[in-house]
Amino acid sequence: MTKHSLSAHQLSAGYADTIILEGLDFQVPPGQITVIVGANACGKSTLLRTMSRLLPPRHGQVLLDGKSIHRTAPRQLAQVLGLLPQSPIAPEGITVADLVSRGRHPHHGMISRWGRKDDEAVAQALEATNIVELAERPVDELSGGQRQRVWIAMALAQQTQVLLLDEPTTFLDISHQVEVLDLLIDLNQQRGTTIVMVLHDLNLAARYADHLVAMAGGRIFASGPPADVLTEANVRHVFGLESRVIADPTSGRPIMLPLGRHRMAKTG
Amino acid sequence: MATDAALVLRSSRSRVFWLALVLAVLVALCAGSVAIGTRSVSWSEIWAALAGRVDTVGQAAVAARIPRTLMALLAGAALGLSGAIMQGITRNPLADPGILGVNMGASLAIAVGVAWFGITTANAYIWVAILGAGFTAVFVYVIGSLGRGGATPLKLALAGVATSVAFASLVIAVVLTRGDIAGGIRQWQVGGVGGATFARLSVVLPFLVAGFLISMATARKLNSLALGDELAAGLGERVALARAMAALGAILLCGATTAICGPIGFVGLIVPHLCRLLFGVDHRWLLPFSALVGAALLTCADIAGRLIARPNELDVGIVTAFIGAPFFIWIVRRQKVREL
Amino acid sequence: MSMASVDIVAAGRIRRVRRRARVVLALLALLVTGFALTLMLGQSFTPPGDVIRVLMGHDVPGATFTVGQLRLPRAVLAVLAGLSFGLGGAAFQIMLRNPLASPDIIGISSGASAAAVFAIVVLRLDGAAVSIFAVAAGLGVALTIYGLSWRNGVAGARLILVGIGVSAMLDSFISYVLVRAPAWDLQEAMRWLTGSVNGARLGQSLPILISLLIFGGLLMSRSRDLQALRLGDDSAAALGTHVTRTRVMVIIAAVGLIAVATAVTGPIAFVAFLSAPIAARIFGSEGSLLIPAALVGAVLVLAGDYVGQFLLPSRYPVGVVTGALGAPYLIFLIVRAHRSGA
Repeated sequence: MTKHSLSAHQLSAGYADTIILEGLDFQVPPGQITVIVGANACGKSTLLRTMSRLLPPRHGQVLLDGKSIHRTAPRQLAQVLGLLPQSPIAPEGITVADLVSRGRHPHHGMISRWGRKDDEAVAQALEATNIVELAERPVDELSGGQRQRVWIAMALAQQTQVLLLDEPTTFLDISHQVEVLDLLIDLNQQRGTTIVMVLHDLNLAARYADHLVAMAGGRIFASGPPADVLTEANVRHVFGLESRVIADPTSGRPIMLPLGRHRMAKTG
Repeated sequence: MATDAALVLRSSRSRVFWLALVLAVLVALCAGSVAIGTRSVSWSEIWAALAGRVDTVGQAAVAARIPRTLMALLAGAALGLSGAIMQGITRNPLADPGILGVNMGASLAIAVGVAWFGITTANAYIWVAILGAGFTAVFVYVIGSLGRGGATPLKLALAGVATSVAFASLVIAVVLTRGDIAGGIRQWQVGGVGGATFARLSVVLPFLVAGFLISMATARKLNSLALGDELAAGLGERVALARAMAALGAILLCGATTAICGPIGFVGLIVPHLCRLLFGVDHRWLLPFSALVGAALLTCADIAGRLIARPNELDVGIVTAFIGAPFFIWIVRRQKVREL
Repeated sequence: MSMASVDIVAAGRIRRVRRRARVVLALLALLVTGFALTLMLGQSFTPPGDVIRVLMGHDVPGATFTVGQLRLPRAVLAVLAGLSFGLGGAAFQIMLRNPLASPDIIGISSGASAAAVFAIVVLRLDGAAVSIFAVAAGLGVALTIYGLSWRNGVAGARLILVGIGVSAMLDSFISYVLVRAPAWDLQEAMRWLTGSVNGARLGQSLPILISLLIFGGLLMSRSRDLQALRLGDDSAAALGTHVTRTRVMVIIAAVGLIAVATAVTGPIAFVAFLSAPIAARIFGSEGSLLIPAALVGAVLVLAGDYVGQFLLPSRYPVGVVTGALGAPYLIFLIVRAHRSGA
């Protein structure tokens, strides 16, 4: 299976009259899980939106296999690069299977007909996310965790080699967060899908990332293996927070413990 | 609103200054309204008409402009004031007797009264219109405040528009069955002050006076309501009573006006906004100023309507829509989406 | 992947396709029946045999005039206008993801109507010129509303409210033109105030038919992208849809449909607004709503016109009937949408 390369070069982007990203270079490691973290308004969602063609860059470019994505036909791009936005909208009354099958959109032209291949892609996506038994249920009736799995299934049905996710765990309780992240690891390991996502929770990010990217002020401040990026000095710079970073006894990954001003045990 | 209001001086002295200015503008507009019209008349004819003579066509035209001017003043004041109250009661920047469908409700009630119950006297018109306006106001408010988030501007405006369209259809349905009144259908759709006479004025006056008095008496209650129902109750206000009383005043005003002039929109929307900007959010000042500025606006719009379409004249309801709709859009644009 | 889950997916899809086909066929049957009935029924009953003979071009005493000159042009106009309103309304509602954002609420219909009334009453134009005028004005209004509601993107609520303001202005412009019209013609006024198919001639339907072919075709060619837009702009873009291009095409097509029909019949109240929600109710929200909504629109105008002509104590233009029908539904929608928190 070929691995697609995705990278940003001298990227500047923003909204209306504010520039958020400035001259940013970013190489997505193929076949790995990259997690982007950073304080609010540091530009992590903007980066993801620019990398996925939702936002045109002011300067610089985003290259997929050496070709600028903003000059690629949208449908062609959507066959390789998938995106799960922060707040997708489920049409009222739509069933799970129907919503997931919308992921096949880029694989169809104006007149091509739905075929066995499409049914298989949808079935595969339903199985991977463990929602086959929900197939005929209306999406409105599902719980938050189930609904998020449906959206991920839609992105899976798109069968892209690269998948970008903007905070896929927001509004989920902790058990559902872990469930969604485990699912993404499965996907990465079984299909070799390159995954890039923005996460809020530093510890979950360090736990699940192969490659951790910390952003501050519209630039990439540090990137690399979680153990190198999640350090007390970096947390201080990126979040302005004093902390202790220790090794997680179960995974060996770093975990960050914030130091507030109170409730501190006396230590020598 | 508070930040805009804070930008202007609101000391009593500046209020007195504005009061004097508004009164001066009003006097000038009255003079203009008597002097200017689709027919050009000489100054001597104006003086003669004011002295009560109607010998020439010019003098007669001027004489007809006098009750018309008074009507415009009264209607404008009533609409401006009722708009200010409606915005106060609903805490909603888009509230206006026209947008909320209240004027159309009054129109429908009159059409039904005329076509089915054979009402003929101006007095009966007014009672029927007030009933119609009251019913519609309650109806639209209830619809608009159902569901989550209470009466948001969007829901209230939509409920008002839906009601207006339905009532406009019903007005046509009712009027069309009667060939004898169908020709006058446009007067049920667009309001004007062109047909004003002293006789009609005298009929509507008691209702308007009652409306003005009740409205003014609720200024302090509206100030409490502006803080939210819970806080108002905490301050010892009987919220439901305060709201009902203020609503009664507003409905008397716009119902009686619609009975005589037909539906005139947007005056009740623009005027209170303008007044809040100039005089601040204290209803004890806001209400009287809204009445004065409303009178000035409608008189001005009426003069404009006579000039634009010479030798015809434009009903004032059309003119106010043209001034008011852009203003409405401006307010909508200023609001944050979340609040809509 | 197991075979069982593929079968579940395939079976569900086939069930949806079948259900969709059934509904479309049922609506089509309803429309054809309604059309046939309006040709037969009226002040007097015309037997089906006579109707068919008239349609074949034979001369049947009495029936040739009532069916050929009165009922047929009227029914054809009602159906074509209904299809246009239903299609155009559904396109706007789907594109803006809000049932309240229909052309008759956000002022597009008023714009087309104002232009048509201006062209006819003041400029004394007729035929195709009026249609072109109305389409241009409709596009202008659509652009204005879109521009005015733009503030870091268009929000549905703001667009609807701006549209309400714009249509208040246009409605009063219509009143102005009607008031200034030299001869106050009640029939004519009724048409521009609420919409009517009174006095239809067969020739009037031609522009609507052409517009259905051109704009309707354009809209149908965008149907899949329109479906993707229902998932939100970001999702649609992620699925490879050209969001802006789709929007522009859909707006042009929908405005064209609405404007050409409005130039002939006036803004038949609430048909554009009602069709898609009714279709969704019968149809479920799966698949494209465009065709079912168009059929519902045609049935509404046809039925509304029949009711207005024959079933009420007095004769009413169709717009009065659909207006009185649509408003309670709008209120219901407001109440329900906000109860479910949508």
